[in-house]
Amino acid sequence: MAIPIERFDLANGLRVILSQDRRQPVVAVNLWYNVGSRNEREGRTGFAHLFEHMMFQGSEHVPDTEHIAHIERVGGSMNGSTWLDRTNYFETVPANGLELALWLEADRMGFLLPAMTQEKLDNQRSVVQNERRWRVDNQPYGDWDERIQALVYPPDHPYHHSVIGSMEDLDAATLDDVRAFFQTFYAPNNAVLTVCGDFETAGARELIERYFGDIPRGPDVPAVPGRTDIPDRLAEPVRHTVESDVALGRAYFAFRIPAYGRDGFVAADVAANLLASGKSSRLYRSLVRERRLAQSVVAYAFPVVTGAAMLVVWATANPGNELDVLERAVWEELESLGRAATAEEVERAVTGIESRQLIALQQVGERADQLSMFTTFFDEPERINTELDAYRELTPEQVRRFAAEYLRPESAVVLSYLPQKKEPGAA
Amino acid sequence: MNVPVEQPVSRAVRTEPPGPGPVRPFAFPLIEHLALPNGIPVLFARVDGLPVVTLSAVIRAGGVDEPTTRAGLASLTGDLLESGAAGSAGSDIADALERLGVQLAVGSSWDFCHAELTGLTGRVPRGSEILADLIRAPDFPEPEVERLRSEHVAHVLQGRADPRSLANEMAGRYIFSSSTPFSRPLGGTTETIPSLTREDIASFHRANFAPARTGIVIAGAIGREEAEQMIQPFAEWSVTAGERTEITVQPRSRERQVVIVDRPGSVQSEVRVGHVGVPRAHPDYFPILVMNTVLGGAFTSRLNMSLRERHGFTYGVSSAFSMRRAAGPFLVATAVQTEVTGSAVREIFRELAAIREAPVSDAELVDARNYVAGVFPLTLQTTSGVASRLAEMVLYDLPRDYFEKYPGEVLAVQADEVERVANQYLAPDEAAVVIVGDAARIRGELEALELGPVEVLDAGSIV
Repeated sequence: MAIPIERFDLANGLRVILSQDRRQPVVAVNLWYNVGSRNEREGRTGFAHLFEHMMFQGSEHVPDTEHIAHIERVGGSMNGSTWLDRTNYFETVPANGLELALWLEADRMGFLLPAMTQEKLDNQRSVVQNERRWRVDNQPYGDWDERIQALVYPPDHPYHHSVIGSMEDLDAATLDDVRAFFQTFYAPNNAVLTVCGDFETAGARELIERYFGDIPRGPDVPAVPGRTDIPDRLAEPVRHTVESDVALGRAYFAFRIPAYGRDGFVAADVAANLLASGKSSRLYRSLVRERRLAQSVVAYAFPVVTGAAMLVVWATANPGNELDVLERAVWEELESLGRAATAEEVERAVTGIESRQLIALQQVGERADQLSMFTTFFDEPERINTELDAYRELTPEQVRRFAAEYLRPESAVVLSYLPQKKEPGAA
Repeated sequence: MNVPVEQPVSRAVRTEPPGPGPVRPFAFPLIEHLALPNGIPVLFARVDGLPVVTLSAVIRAGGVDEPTTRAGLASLTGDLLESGAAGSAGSDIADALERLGVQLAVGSSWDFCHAELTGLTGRVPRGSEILADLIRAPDFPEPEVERLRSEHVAHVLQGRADPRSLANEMAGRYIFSSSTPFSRPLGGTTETIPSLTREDIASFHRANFAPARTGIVIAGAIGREEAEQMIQPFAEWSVTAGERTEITVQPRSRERQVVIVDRPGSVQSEVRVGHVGVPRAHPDYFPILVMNTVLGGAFTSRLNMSLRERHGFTYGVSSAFSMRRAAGPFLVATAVQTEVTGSAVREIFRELAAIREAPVSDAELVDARNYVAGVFPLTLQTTSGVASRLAEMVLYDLPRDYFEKYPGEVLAVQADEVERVANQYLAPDEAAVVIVGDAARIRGELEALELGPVEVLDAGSIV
């Protein structure tokens, strides 16, 4: 694959990636700030995400909610998202809206604080708390990732707490926190800007220099708090059972694995695909189609970079099936993967990964996001064109070895959800 | 290569937003009509770029075609297509496609069943034979019928435990009369699904799956000849099916009513406010689209600016017309903190009234038109995005130049049309208000709004 890449750095440390594609008159602008929930201090869980919301509340030259209004009125779509390692902001606009998008992003990178008020903070705190209620507290299994993270990572590791954070910590956030967070993390030297799509290179470059060039470099970013250097396997197994308002039992199996970018992550990703990607995958074929123990199965290797990543498998029981029978069946499959993963299966999984990547990259927004990611994590945007090579070179033996070493009961977190028992006589 | 830049080229003017650059024209991909001897319409659009192609078949066989007592039949039939066809087992079909890295998506909606392949250009053609088999000659093996039947029941149980899907299901039930298919869940219920037999499924397929009910669309980085090759497996399909009976849509009531589905302990209330909307092929499609954008179809819509950005009641709120061959629902949907449920419902009705009482401002009109016209091309970056527009043409009998003219039609909408359609197609006085939440904590304030009678249902007692 050959996605074109042109890179330059501004004197203030902003890394810029340009990737031209003039087939359609649309352009994506994408910024990754190298800050996520991992950078939050104690007592301020959820703050990185709350701060992301504040980035849409105007800046010195952009009134209140005008940031989004500007993008919508040129016919663009936009959003932002916060994750463990990073926060991204992105918009896809008609090609002639490029300068507007750069002006907006530069204004909030350079001039956010004059627009911050207590009223805006209180409003977005309330929005985010409603986001938490919606995603987590009022959803069946909604707190699974919060629980899993707390069990997979030790209390002093920055992945121990969830991105959404606790209600109490959100309540505690102040305008001083907004100021300090901005000054610490939202500087050009802690960001990557990618522009992808229909633009003229010299012109785009000139605009980027004009709008971002005189934003001052920030101080060096402090190290991620806590202990990030942890073993990529748990020392002992952990079990946890939750009774809640769910209709069907579900079991989550979580394992620490090598961090994204390290040796072993590619094998983990392919193993997850062998387990549950598509209807020919092992868990689907065996547990869903043949034995009918599960209603659905999922397996996913989280591409996170701080210390250790994790692989999570989950299976939802069919009505009338005991969860422990399902759990034993999952273990049989995990064990069998370590012995018997075949070359044919690995080939099929890699073919699927390759196709999905090409299908996703049809969108300039996705291309821009991946270029920002590879630059933020590895300082190598070129990985967008070469990452698949590592998948093609992977041997079945490496997948088997990964499964045998990592997907073991001795180092697993097992989290089970059971339907709440109704009290006798209750409706 | 890293080249540090020494000097900013010119000082930025930050105080004013930069104006738009020259417009770069956008053109909908050229649509070619290919022919099949059995009369299936085939639309092909060449989309250059990455070597990806989408092949999609749409069959007019949806939830509206199933007998009232067989709710969930279309959905179950659709899901069973990939469970075995022309003698190949479901697991072999999955295996063959996944070896090619070709993604298969099969599903049923109220109006149609669709089966779609997306993958690399060199590989999708090898999957087209399989796709044709799924549609022409599904086997519906008994063990798979049994398995998917219980999977669908499990899915209904899951939905009942999820306040969002419970609210959607109950909104359908309270908006439409029980004689209208949209009053029941598309997937069926715990009562109807277990009664669906293999014979029901096979006869639904016989009655509805035929060339006369089918369209094929292809979008991707291939030439016309390759596209013609890909449709060959469909050429010899020659069964006939009856004409489709168009349904009639009736509201459950013209009196406004409030229904609380009681879920004690809920920290949020899932709110739906809705009534019968409009069909897809509608002369006022574009004014309705622009009107809804101002009301609740964009982030900066009136509803979202009020409920989220001014009041902080919710993470988000939206409104939409679900346009089907017949009139689907118009629905405002949100989830709000329990404590503010009454206030949020009051604000929703305030906005529904306001957009009917006074014309939208020029700025709102221009912004909404530009937004809808501008995001349209963004949906066409992918082959599956283009394919779904082509499918829309086939399914809703849209004219050949429909999507070429689409942005222009949006930009031509005027403020008086917006006001007219708001009055014609929004009916807040006839709305059903469905709320899944903690009745003990929200009933009083909902009664105080005096919207209409307030009914409370126990979430556990719904069948």
